Amino acid sequence: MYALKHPSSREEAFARLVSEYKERLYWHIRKIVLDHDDSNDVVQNTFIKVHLNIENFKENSTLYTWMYRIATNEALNFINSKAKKMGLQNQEWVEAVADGLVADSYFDGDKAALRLQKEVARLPEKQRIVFNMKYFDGMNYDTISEILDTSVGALKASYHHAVKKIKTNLTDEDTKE
Amino acid sequence: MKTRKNNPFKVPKGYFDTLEETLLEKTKTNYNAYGFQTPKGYFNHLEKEILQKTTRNNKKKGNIITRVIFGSASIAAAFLLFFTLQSPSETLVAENKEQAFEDYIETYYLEDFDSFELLSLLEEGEIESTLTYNSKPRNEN
Repeated sequence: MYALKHPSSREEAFARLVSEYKERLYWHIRKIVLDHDDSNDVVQNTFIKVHLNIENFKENSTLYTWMYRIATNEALNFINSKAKKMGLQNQEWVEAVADGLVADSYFDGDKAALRLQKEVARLPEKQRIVFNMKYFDGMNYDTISEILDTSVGALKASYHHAVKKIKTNLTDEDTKE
Repeated sequence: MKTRKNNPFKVPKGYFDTLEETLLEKTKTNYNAYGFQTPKGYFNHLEKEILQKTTRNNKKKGNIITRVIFGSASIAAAFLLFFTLQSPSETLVAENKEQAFEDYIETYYLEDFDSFELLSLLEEGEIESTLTYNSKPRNEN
């Protein structure tokens, strides 16, 4: 951490930080914004903000959770901005992007993966983020709690509701088919 | 419970030597699961791009500030002289000078800068007050 804050070693330490976290942050962002090009913009903005603010990092959270928090906020702000420009609600925009995954050249999931992504897109924002972090990334509740500044109890409730909705919707679709 | 001696199950030779490495490699690359992909070589390119942007930002900061300081000093002097001689109201002059100076800087120096370059004009303290990321995540639900 000292190396990141000290001007003489800052750039080298930052390069190591980018190397260490670029993939993890990218995939975290990708699951929120879904599209590769959008994720690319957001992950770059995330690291630029990390670079700008690293001297002010208070160390009352770990660097890892602090960067995840920036990435999460950047991704949500990005969706907010995109949706607003198109006159849509955030969730409508996310659902539209999820519907387009079938034609996305950077998505090669099978039918089940596609259905799951569409159902995840239908979740309320907070539940969607919690579901991504818990189900896809396998993060523990304590870490998610620190990143999202939400109690573990509330996270468990969010995750429980998310899983229940997804299961119900997938079952309903199967019944219709 | 069977002891290790009686264990009928076997593993390939050297399996446990490579297990850790395999697991670490998989957990690293498994983020690319569930159907999402990236262009080939994307992460190498991404790293270079981020470092170029942050390094360029550091360099630009000095250059832009120097340009603005030198440019603005002469403009400020000209405005000061002009308004001191022309204006009947001292208070109004002070406001106009300030406004005119800001307009000039915005028009001739800053119009082509993107927001990121504008940020580089700010002092660290100002950046902290506008961009500091101790903001809590949005809790909407």
